Amino acid sequence: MAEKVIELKNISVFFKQAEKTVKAVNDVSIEVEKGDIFGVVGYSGAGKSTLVRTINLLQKPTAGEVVVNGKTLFSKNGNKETLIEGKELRQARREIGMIFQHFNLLEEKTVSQNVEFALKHSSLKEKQIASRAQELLKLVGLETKGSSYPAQLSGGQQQRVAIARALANNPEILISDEATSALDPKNTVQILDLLKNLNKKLGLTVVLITHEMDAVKRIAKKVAVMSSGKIIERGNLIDIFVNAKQPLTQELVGIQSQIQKAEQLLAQSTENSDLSTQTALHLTYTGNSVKDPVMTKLYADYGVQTSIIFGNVDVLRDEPVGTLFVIVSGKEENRQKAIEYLKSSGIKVSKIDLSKGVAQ
Amino acid sequence: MINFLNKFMPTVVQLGWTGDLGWGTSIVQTLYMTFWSALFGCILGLLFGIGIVLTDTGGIKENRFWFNVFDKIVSFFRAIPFIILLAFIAPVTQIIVKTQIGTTAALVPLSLGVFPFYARQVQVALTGVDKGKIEAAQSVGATFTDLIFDVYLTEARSELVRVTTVTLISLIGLTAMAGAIGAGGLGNTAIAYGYQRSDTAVTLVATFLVLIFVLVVQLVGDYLAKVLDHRAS
Repeated sequence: MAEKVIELKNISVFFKQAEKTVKAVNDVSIEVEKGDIFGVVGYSGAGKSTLVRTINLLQKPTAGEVVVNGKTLFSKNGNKETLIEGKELRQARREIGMIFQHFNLLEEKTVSQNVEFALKHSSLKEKQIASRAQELLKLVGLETKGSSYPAQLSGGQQQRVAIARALANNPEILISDEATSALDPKNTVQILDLLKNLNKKLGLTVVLITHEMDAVKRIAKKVAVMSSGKIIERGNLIDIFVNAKQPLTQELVGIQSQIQKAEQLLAQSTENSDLSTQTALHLTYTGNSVKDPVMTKLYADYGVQTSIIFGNVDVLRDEPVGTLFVIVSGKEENRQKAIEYLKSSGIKVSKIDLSKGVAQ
Repeated sequence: MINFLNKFMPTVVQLGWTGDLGWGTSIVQTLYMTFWSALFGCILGLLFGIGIVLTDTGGIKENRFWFNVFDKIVSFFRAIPFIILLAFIAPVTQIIVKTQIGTTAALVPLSLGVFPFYARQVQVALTGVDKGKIEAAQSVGATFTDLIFDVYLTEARSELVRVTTVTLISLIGLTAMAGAIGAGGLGNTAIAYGYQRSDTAVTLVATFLVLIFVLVVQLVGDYLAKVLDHRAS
């Protein structure tokens, strides 16, 4: 069991508005282990940003407990409240890096000065601060841009500066709050790969908040899905994708739209055929789990014919996950055996009722 | 030049350069009043402007009570027409500078007249600093003074120069009224020796000199604001 670097226990954040109380985060607990890339996904307003802001207390929780690197930063049970403040809080924050959607660089400071600003209260001497800043800029590939002002850089470059600033005090944790949402696809991929790289190289723990599923697919190891202030589903990336149970998760991971598309196609292709000899299947398989030439075997060993209606391959953290919608035709008995065979070879199989939609 | 003035504007020359009515004296008085009341007024205005922004809802030192104190004081002084403030504040002036009339006595009402105006402008300039920048600075452990100097004042500096320019110009306008309490200055020359004596030439020259002051302030202000601005347009 890896060491837990972030523990949020029963966190609630309520905002009082004129007459009502908005429960932005409602009794949520998460644990993030050292070296994880932990994705928090959900639509805007789900409370994911509010939740992770409690980690460095940019947002003070209404109740719950925040423990980072084994140190309790906040806890409130009933009326008893502990909250670190002043110098202690600032020191704790320096150990948690954070990057933002709109970069939030200081525009009247140069790139170097932005990074140096984060080191202002470190024990380093002026010269060491300058060389440390240069070292950080090199880490993010901007060693030649030190004297530029942020406005002279592209969005992707500005986010790199923000990453350099966030990492200045050698934090073990980096919180990325929609950090790629304002970037174009190319820069998004570069920033994500940089985060992944830093995770590997420095053992940096990354908390990735996003509404873009592609960002999570590319780098996250674990995922939590948030909706209306609650975490509705959580697990390893591939589990969440392959075994999404909640409708919202299915929607987010894109399974629902695939199923809908497939159903349309299935309906069209089976319009004039005999349904009693056919079974529609939704097959999901991950990277290395399938070694046999499955389709050939279905025909050769079980005497059923398989036609592919719709297919898709996703890459999750470099591991391909395939989705196939197929129609298997043949004798009832053979079809049953074929399905058993598919399951035994590591493929997740769900039957699709052609008249009603999806059934397990 | 002198010949030209002698020929076409003899009264302008008659006022002389030095002496109580002299042009040199008026110019120095205007500069003196503008400089010192700008200094006091802007320091006060800056403090109140910062105070309002910090204690406002969502500010880094959110505090309803202090916000109201700052806000109401500024609103109160802003509501008093300057010419009335000149008289109204006289007892306070007496305490501070030991006299109620003269150029130095005018500094008190001028400072108090200009500070609420400046405070509001500073408030707008500082409110324009993205909250995200504050959060980002907090996330790297910035202290309170870092937030004030490195974030608020630095990020808003170009805007602050702009509002200072506007304030200085408005202050030059206020000094013209200070003649009412015997402070002298170009405004006084224009009114007392120009307008009231129906001497258009004197009024014109005094106005022209004020315009030059304003122009110089505007040009320097615009230049500085531009040079200090590195933000994305």
